[in-house]
Amino acid sequence: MWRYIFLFAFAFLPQPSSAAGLFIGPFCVDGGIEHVSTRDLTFVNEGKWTGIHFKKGSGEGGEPPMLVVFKTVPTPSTNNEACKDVIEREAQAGHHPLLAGHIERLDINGHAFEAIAGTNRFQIGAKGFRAKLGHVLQGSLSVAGGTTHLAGSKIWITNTTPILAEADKLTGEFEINAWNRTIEGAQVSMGGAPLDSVTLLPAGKKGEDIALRFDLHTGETRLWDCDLGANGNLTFAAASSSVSGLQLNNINANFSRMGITARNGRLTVSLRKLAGTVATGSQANSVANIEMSNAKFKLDALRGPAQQSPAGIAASGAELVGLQFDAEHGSISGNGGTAILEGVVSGTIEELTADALKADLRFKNPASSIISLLSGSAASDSVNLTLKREGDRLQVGGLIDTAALNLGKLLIKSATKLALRPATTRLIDPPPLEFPVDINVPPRSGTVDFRTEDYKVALTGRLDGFKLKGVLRVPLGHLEKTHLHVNAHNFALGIGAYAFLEPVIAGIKPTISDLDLSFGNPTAMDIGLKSTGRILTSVRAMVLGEPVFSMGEDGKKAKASLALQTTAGADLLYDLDRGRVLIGKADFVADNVRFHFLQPGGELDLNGTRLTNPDISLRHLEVHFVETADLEFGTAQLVAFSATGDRVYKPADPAKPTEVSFDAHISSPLRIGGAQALKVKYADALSLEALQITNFSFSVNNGSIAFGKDISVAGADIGISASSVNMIETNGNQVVVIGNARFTAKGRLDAGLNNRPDFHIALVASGPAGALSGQGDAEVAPFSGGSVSDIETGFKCEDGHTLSVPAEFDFAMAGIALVVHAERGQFSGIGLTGPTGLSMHTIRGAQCHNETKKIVIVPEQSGWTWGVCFDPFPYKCKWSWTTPEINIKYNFRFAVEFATATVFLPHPVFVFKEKKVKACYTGIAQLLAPAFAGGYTPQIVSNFPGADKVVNDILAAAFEPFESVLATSILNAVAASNIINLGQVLCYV
Amino acid sequence: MFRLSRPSQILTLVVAIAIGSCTAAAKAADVVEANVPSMTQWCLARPAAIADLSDVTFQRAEIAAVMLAIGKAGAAIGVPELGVPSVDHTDKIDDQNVNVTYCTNIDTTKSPPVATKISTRKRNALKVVGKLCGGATIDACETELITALQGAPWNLSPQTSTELVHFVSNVPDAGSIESRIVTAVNNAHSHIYDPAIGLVIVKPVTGPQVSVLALGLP
Repeated sequence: MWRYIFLFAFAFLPQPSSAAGLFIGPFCVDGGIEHVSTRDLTFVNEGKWTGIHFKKGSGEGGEPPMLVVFKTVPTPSTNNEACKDVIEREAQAGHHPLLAGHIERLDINGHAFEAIAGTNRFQIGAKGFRAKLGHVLQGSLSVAGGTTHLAGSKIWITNTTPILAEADKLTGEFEINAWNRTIEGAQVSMGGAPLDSVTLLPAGKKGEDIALRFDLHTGETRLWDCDLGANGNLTFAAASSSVSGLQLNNINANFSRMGITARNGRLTVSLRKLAGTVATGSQANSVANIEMSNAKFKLDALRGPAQQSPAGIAASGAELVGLQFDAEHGSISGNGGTAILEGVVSGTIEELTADALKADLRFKNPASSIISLLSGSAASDSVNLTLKREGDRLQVGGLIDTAALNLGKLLIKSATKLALRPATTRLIDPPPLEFPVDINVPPRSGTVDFRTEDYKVALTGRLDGFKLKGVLRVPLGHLEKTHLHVNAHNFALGIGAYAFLEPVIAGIKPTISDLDLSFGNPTAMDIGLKSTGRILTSVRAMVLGEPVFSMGEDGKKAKASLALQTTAGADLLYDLDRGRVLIGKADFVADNVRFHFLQPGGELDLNGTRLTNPDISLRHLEVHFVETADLEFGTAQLVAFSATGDRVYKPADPAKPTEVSFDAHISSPLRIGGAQALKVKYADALSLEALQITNFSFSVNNGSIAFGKDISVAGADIGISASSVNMIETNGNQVVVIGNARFTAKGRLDAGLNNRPDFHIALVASGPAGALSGQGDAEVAPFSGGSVSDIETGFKCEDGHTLSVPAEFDFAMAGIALVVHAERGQFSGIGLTGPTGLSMHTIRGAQCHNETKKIVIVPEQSGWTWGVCFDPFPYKCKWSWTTPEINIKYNFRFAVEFATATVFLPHPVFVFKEKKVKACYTGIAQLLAPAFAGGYTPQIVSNFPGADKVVNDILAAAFEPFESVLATSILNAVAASNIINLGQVLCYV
Repeated sequence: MFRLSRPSQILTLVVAIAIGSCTAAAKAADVVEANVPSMTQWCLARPAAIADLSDVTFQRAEIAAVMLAIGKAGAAIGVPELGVPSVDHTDKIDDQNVNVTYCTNIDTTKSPPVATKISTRKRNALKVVGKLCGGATIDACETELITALQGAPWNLSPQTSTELVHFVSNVPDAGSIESRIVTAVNNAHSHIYDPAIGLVIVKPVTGPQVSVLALGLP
């Protein structure tokens, strides 16, 4: 940097042909300089401009004229010094010139400004400085991170921009043209990765001419116009670098030549003949994500524009030419990350730029999550792709060579070559690439596997011909939607010598009469990441032997000794995506059969009635499958069903407490006149559901039955029949509706009584199973009951609770007849009887005291008087005095030591409900012969005489007498008892 | 040995009653000088640690104990009523302990039982300056009274006027101011010993009461 300029040239114009040096800022010129003219005097407010023209004179022998360029303004000297003297003097101070040489030609045409006040300056317009140094004596310039030595060279200098020399600043630019120069130690980087330091030599079209630009202000030198190069075994190693839009990591390569071209200061760096490895490479764009790893490569050239600075040359945005690679793994994925192709990949990329691509890729044994055509199972499988891009147009072609074709879960094992004729699309809003596919595989050229959802082979057979016409559609930008589309009836598949290896219908392998199967596609198919489509075959006859069978929604599945045979042909479909064999159309029948479960745990669910380990007789069973939309269900009809079993029961469901439940060993066969199953599933079992049952009946001995949560009979002979028991669905809920159900039970009543009286009930009801309504009658043998219940006294204890006394109530009744009602799942039996009494006595005593209260007779008082204090001598000071509060603290203890009475009910109504017996009453209940022990006891704490009287007065005024409180409490307790409800007229209505 | 005794140049007697009335409040500004006749007092000496005498709890306990002792003794001879005790003087026992003599007014000529160790004496007549405090606090009333004493005709110095003694009592709000002041200073009926509960309590009173503050003049 030249910060200062020494301008005495204007005041002391040089003498022509003077040997003394002339200084213009850091320039020193001497020897034979002629001052040609002083002209163009221009006066301005600040000073005067004077046009000055220097040029080299004709020369008169002696020292040749010299031009010296210093880094800074040399120290002035009072001596008359030539430029070489100044060089020597400055050298002693460690200041060497940037450039020094003998002048062959010099022509300086500028203007000097002589300031009235302020800074003088000298200005040279563009091209106003022209010099030719016939022989450079000294001069080394830093350029491209290295150094070029100008000594011994002939150079031409001119200023490309105006030069302005001021007292502390010099601006302007020299262009230096030299010949046959080198740049030693040049620093070059490619894509951010530094390359080996090299010596650049002249090469290329520009020959040995080198043009440099030198900034007088910053001192920086730039390559301006030249061709340079370096040869050798050079290395290119980068942790990461971007080349032609490819993001490369861990590159290690060698190359043999580096070339640098400068045109008007614009640089291009090229590396040639590269070979090496790269750990990973990837490119993501709107079309696809391309990745590869562990690749070896060869590259003809890597070329890119570069920026130059004093530190060196940095190339970026490089593009590759002539790439050959071999990667252990590569993939092409959609933007969602799912690979359309992946595997070992090799190829060539002749060209890869922002606008052009020409590449051939070869995937070996590739896999694809999108193109399920590829089995990925044979080493010979391969996919070749040819990509060609010009601007917005992309052309793709190739060849798929596979040992097997995946069509969803269908696997066709036959070597197939699919040629992808080149297809062209645009890259902006592209329509899908479409490749016609035409497959025609001759018979007996492979095998076919029909696989289950979890890829087990369910059906396998010999390939007896395969034809497919379709189109492979590849939507650019949405590669995961790539699919093979096949129109209806463009698929034909024949198989022979087939065998079922896995259960496919009703948990078994069906038996089919046909020796060969022919499949077609009645509807279009799309095969891709998500496949849709079904292929269909028609068979002459099919048998389902010993199917896994269940009946009812909660029936337990087990293999049954049953065989169902089609009445005519059947249509079977295979769902390519789900791997399911579906029944399109079939009618199965079984007549006069008797069957049972072959596996333990089988259980029928006849709309709530369970029958374990049943032995079933059936006059006729038929199951129909018609072509419903989802092909998941059929219907069934049962005629004259009867069954015996280990146990018949209907479990109590806490979620449905109002249903009738029962449990017994069956004594006579459970019979059903007829039934329909509106829903017959067959995926893993033949499951008859949504049963519509008619003429249902059975009877049992020694069972138990509960009518909701109200009446429970144990050890009973039970008979249950119904004209209909139907499972219906309302608002998404399944409900069992019973028609004309008749329940009879004769056993012992379980109602929490002292005894379990004989009980007989007969009830007819209809409605939803959880809300039956109807009526009937019942008889109950003599019974007695008792209950323990707390008598709430109403006396509030200190802890906030009301004092309660445990008591026992007992009664005894003769047998009575009852009227039974069922009202939406609420069952009750009501019986009238004569006057009766309930015996009551407390079980143990109870007592507590209430909250302690305080009455203040005389409040605490205080005042002050005259006392004495010490500090340290005694002095009078105020003392305070207090007199204590006089008060009465008291509470009352309430104790019930014993109570007994008879509760007399003149007109009782006994209600059997909620598994209890309630004595309802319509008149006035009375306590007969009560006997109570206990009472109130005051508890007093006081410093006041007469407190007893005060507290007893409070007791007398505020509290009801003990006997009255207890009698009321007993009647209230009886009314709230779980056993008897007094005065609740509505309890039996 | 040091000794405090009555009358003293700086002794002032103060009696204050906490209950006031509107009438008393209207008269609160009046400061009256009164001659108080001599009064019978019963006195009781109790030892105390000097360090304890500044403790409020100890002070209250001592006054309560003295009242109870004198109340019991008076009741034994049929005189259960008494005034509020105050410290009359102290006698040094050693560097840490003193005997404190408490005296209180009692309206009797009989002597206390001998076993009680209570002595009887005649307190001299006093000249006092008093004031009806009405609804004002005792502290505010005291400030007003001391301010008055520093003016004519008493012209006491600030130090003298602030070293005066205080007692507390209340009296019926009837009669002249002077008579109420005299009644307050010689009040021997503010408290009563209740043998039923064995405690001395403030004697229940009826009718309007007024608080009185009186300072004994030097």
